[in-house]
Amino acid sequence: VNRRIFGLETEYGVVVVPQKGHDAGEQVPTVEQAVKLMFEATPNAFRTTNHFLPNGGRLYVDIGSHPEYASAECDHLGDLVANDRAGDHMVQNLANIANTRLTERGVGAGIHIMRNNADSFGNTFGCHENYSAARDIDFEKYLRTLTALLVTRPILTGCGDVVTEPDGTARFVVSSRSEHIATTASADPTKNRPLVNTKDEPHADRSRWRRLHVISGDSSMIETTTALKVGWTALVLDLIENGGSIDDLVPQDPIAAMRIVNRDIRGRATFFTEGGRAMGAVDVQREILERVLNRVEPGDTRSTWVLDLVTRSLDAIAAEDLGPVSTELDWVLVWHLLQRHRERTGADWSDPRLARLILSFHDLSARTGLRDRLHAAGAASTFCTSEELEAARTTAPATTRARVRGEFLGWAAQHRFRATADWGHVRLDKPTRSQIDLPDPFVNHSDEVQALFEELS
Amino acid sequence: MPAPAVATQGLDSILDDISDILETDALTFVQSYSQTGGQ
Repeated sequence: VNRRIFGLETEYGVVVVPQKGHDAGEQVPTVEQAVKLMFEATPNAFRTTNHFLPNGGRLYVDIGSHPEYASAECDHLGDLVANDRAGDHMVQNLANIANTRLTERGVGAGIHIMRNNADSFGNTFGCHENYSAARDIDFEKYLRTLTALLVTRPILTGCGDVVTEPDGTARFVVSSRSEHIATTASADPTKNRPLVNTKDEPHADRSRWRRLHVISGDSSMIETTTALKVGWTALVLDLIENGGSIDDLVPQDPIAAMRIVNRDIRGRATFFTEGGRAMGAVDVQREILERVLNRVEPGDTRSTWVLDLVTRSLDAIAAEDLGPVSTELDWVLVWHLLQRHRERTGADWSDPRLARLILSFHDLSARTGLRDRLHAAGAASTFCTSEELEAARTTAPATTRARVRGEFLGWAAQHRFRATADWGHVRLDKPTRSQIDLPDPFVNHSDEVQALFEELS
Repeated sequence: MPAPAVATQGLDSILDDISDILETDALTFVQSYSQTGGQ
């Protein structure tokens, strides 16, 4: 297993709706106003909308008034899941404070935060994955090969959704995001949305590293799906970087294949690969799994967990018995929720209550969302302990550069120093000191930062 | 270690718990969701 930095960037959707007792003539705040109110609640004297945090992550407002959280650089799946969940906690906490302020001001409206991939009007946003890669790889070949994984991966890592076909028929799909992917690689992701955004921003020494920026994945709600998405992709990257090949499994028409994969929960619907074979999503994933298994070294716990879940998931999907993985995969749990609701109510797939149920699955609120309820009922698996989740809200991962940045920002706040940070550097602005560059994301200490601590503590 | 399958009973309990949310103005809520600007 190659040591690798990975991280997640989650764009959150915001819904503002009238509450009970809302005056019909009263204006409901816009999304822009709601997000502004949320970020007024951030504990930062300068009231900016861009915060690097002591837990190593970054909380900010992106184009279109998206609250966005970028996790710290991680090299362990447990750290990643916990740090990612910390972002959910922070954003929902801001919404809770903003909602209290709305109530205090007598505004009959509520703000809901959605960790999902599409609004009700066809706009899409994402949960972007970042993986470090060596600068000297053949990046074009790397991307082409990776297409085999990314086109078929949603059968494992999709979040489940209901879409309306051009003929007006509503149907279940395994991935929300897959519907919006238009090309395999692009540096212009808002106009021509790709599997991989090819912008070259390594946030590290560019002579040594690239950053693989996968933007085709769904926003995962269940911790095990998040861990599977990143852990499985990292293992396949290891395979490719270590000389393995899955070129023959690349679909001849990747985008058409992605739509085919998305519409078949059995994972059997076929498309033609570059190797000339008619294969379904489960076939392709199984072949990738076999090639990874042939190369992975025994005893690596991260690999063992990931490979076990991939194996069990493919077995369950192929057997059309989803029960064994129903608490671990987002789309399978959503499928069960929707089917159960349909059985109880007779609702058809176009019923708005199903769309509302899906939004509840993605709603981060403890009051109106499902995550806490699913955990309490044992219907959603966890990957981290509650102690790990709580610690990740304030403490950066210990084994990467994030630790240096997190400790620096925590120290500066404690001493009421004015400080700034970015992925690749930290700087003390008041009192003024020179910028300290942190070009290596794998290094978890800095002599220069330690010297600063000793000088000013 | 495989995780246990989701229990229908557990889902029923959750669906009961949020029935007000699903039955009250579901369409209004869904149609209120407009979020532009993402990647």
